[in-house]
Amino acid sequence: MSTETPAAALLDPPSWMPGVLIAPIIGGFSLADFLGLFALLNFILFFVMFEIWLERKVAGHIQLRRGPLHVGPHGALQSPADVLKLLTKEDLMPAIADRRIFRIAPYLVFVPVFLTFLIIPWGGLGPLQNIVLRPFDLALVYLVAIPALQAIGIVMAGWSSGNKYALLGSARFVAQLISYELPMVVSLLGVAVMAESLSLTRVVDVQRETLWFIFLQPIGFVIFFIASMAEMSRTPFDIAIAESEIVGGPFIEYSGMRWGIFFLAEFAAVFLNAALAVALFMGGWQFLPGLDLLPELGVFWFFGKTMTLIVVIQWARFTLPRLRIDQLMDLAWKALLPAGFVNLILSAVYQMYGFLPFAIGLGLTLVGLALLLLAYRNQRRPIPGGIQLVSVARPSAEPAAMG
Amino acid sequence: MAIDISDPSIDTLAPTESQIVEERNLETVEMTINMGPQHPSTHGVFRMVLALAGERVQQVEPFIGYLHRGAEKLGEAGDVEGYRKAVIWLDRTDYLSVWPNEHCYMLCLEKLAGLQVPERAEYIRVILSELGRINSHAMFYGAFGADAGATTPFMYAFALREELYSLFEAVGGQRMFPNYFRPGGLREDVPADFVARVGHVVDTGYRACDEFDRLLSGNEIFLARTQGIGVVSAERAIDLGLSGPVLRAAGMPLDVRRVEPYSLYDRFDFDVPVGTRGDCYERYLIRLQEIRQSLGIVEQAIRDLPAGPIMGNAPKALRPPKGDAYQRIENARGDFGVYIVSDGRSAAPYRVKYRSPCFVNLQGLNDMVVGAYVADAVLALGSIDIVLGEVDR
Amino acid sequence: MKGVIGGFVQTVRSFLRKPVTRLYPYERAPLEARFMGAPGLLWDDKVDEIVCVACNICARSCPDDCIYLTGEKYDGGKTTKKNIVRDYFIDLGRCSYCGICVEVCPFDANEMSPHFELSTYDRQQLIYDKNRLVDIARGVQRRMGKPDAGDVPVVGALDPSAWR
Repeated sequence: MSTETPAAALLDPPSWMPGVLIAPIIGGFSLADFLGLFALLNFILFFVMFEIWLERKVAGHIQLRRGPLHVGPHGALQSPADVLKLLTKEDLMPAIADRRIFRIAPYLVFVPVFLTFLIIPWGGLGPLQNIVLRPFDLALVYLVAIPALQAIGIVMAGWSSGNKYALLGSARFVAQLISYELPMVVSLLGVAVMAESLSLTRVVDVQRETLWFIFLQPIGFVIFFIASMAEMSRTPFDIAIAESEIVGGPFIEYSGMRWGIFFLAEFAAVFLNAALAVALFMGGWQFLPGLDLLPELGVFWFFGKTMTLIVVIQWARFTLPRLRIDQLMDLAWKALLPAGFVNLILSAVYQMYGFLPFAIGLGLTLVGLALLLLAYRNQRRPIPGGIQLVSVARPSAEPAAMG
Repeated sequence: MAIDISDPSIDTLAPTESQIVEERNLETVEMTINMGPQHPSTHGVFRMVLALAGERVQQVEPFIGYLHRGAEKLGEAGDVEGYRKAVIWLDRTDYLSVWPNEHCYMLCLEKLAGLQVPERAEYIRVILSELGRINSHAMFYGAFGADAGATTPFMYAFALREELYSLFEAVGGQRMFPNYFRPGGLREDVPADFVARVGHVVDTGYRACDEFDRLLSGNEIFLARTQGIGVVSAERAIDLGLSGPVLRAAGMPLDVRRVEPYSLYDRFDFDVPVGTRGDCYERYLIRLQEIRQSLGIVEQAIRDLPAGPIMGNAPKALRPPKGDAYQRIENARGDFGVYIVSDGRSAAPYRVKYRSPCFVNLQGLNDMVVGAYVADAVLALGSIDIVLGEVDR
Repeated sequence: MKGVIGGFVQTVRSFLRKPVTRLYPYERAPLEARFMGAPGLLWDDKVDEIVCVACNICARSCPDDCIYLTGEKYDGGKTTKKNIVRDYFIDLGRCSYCGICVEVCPFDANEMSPHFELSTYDRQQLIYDKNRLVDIARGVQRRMGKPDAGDVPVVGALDPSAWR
C-alpha cells in the first residue's frame, strides 16, 4: 500500500505537498480500506465514550466524589446515555450566526483528528502483524500537517457564532496551536533523526532494535507531551475554552450533538496524542524496553501504554490550574523551543559520534537545564512576597483610632 | 465587525489602495465584552463591562443591583417581632458569613437595649462566628481555585464545609441560615455533644488546611497566575475604604477584632496575617492563614467554655429605648457594621443600615483590573471574595 | 516544580481516600435532632383536635408573609377553646424556615417538622393547607423553646411515605 517516496521528491515541495495530505486517503482505495475506516470510526466513537467515563471516574475520585454511578455498573453506560441526550437536544443557533459556517465547523474540527488516526501503528493482533491503516513514509510530516487543520474549524466556529467570547476563544486557540506546533515539530525532528526515517512504523522498529526514545530523547518526550497537551487545549493549557474566563470559548453557542462533536474531537485528540506519544517515544507495541513479549498481543501492550498516558493527562487536568495566555506563549517560545533545538543537536551527536558522547551530552544538558531553571526561579522573584503574622497588641480601654 | 457586502464603497475582493494603506497602520480596536450577570466566575450576578484591547482590559464598568431585595427596608417592616424579622433578612444578604453578621446584629441590639449576655452564650457565639468565618474562607478557596482554572479545590473546600454545616445543623437546626442568636443570648443551649463535635471539626479543619496548601498554595502555575496581579497599595486601599483581607494584604494590620475588640475577642490569642504587596496571592494566603487562626480561637474558646445560663434578662417582646447604636465587627470579608435606630415605641427598628464590606471592597476593582489580562480580571474579582447578596442587599 | 509535584501527590492521596459523598436518595444522612424543616401544625392526640386557635400571631410575625389563616368560633370540643382554626395555608415556596412562627406561638400549636423534600412539578402545590400541615407534623413533639425537651429526636423515623 505504501508508495516509496524518493528523497529527491522531498526537495520539490509542490509535488509532494498535496501528496502528504491526500495520499493516505486516496492511494488505492479498496473495500478493505472502507471497512477499515468504518471500523476505525466506530472504534474511536466507543473509545471516546469509554474515555469520558474514565475521566469522570478519575475526576470523581480525585475530588472525593464517586463519579457516575447510576447508569450501568459503576456508571459505565453514562456516556452512551449522555450521547442519546445530546442527540435529542434542540440544535440551537444564534440569530446572528453565519449559519452555514456554524453548521460545518464541528466536522472540520473532528475530521483532521480522525484522519491522523490512519497512520498510527497499532501493533500485532494474532496472525495480523503490525496493523496500520496506511503505512506511510511521510507519517511524521503528516501528523504535523493534518491536526493543524483543526484551527480552521475552530476559527470558523468562533467567528460564525457571533459571540465575542467565542471570537476571543478561537483567537486564543489558533495562537496556541500555531505556537505549539513549532516545539512539536522540533521534537519530532529529533525522533526522525534518531530513526533515520519519517515513517512511524520505522520509528517503532528502531525503538525495538535499540531503546525506547523516551530514554534516548527524554527532553524530546517532555516537549512533545506538553506541546500535544497544549494543542488539544487541555488543562493547564485550556485557555481557549477556559470556563471561568470566556465560558467555553468557541463552543459557547453550540448545543446538542453539534457541541457533542466538538467534545468528541477533543477526547479523540487526547487518545490520538497519547497513542502518538506511545508510538514515537514509548516503543509502540513493544512490551518492555528490549523485551518483545508476545508480539501477537502487540495491540494490548500498545493500549496499555496509551491508557496510562491518558490517565496521566486526566490526572494533570484535575490537579493544575490554568496558565495565562502570555505565560503559555513564554513557555512555548522561550522554554520548549530552545530545549527542542538542544535535543535536536543531541540527536545529531548520537547519529554521528555514537552513544557515549550522546549520553555525556545529554547528562550535561540535563544539569544545565536544571541550573537554568534554578537561575530563572531566582531571577523571577526579586520582590519579597508572602505574608507574615503580626501580633497586634490588645488595646486597653481606649480604642485605637484607626480608619 | 461583519462587512456589509452590499455597501458599494467596500470592494471585498480587491483591496483598494487606501485599504492597503490603512492596513499598514493597523490599530487595535477596542472590544467591549459584557461579563455577567450570567457568567460562571462573577460570583453571583455581578456584571462587568470590559473594554478590551486584545486581551488587555482598558476599562471596567461594574454594574450591581441584580440581587437587590431591600434587606434594609424590609428590616423596618412589620409591626410584630420586627427586630427578629430584620435578622432573617440580614442572614440572606451575606449568605456565607451568616454567623458573624448575626453576631454583629445582636451586639448592636444589645448595645441599644442595654441587655446583658451570659458568658456561656457569648463564648458559643464566638465559636460559631469563627466557624462561620472558616466556612466563608473555605468557600473562597474553592471559588478562587475555580477562577484560576483548577476544579479540584472546590470539592476539597466543600468536604470541609460539609462538616461545618453538619455542625451548624446540629446547633441551630438549619445549615445555612440558623437564626440561632437572640438579643440577650441564644435560642437554646448547644447540644450535649457540642464540644466533642467542635473538636472533631477543628481537627478536620487543620487537616483540610494542609490539603489546601499542598494542592494549590505552592503550585508554580498558581503563583505565576496570582503573584503581582490585582495589586492595591495600602494608601490606595485606605483611600477607597477597603477592609478585611484585601486591606491586610496591602500591609495594614487592621482587624476589628484587635483594634476595637468586641465580644470576647480580647481574651483570645491570635495573630493577624498581614501581606506586603497587596496582590491576589497574598489575599489568598491571608485567608488560608485566617482559617488557621480562627481554628486556634475556636480551640481556646472550647477549652474555656463556661457552664451557665445561655439567656440573659431579655424581655420577650423587645422594645429598645429611643436612640441609635452602631456596632462594627470583622466578618469574613472585612469591616461589617450594623446601625439600628429605634423610635422607642414600635416593635420594629425605625431604621437599620448595614455597612457591607463587599460593597466597599468592590471599589478597588478598577485599580485591580485595568491594565490586566481578562484572565487576571477574573482572578482579581475572585480575590475580593464578593458575595453579591451583600453588595446588592 | 516542587509545588506542582506536591499537588500531584495530594490528588493521588485524595484519590485513595474514601469518597465523602453519600448516595443521597438511597443513603440518607441522619438528620440532626434540631433539624428545622417545613413548619407543621400539631395535633392534640389526647383530645383528638388541632391545637391551633387561630390567634394570627404566627402570620403577623412571619418575615416572609407566607402564612394565611382564618379562624372560627368553636365550642364543641373537649377543651376550653373559644376559637379554632378553619383554614391555614403556608406557602412553602416562600417560607424561609426561620422558626419564628414556632417561637412566637403562645399555644405551642406548631413545630418545625423534619419534612424537607418538597419537590413538586407545580409551584401551587407548595401551598400547603391545614390537612397537609397536620400530616407533616404528625408524631412531632413540641420542643423549641422548651429547655427541658433536650435533644429528643422530633420524629421517630424519617419515613418519606409518612409525609405524603
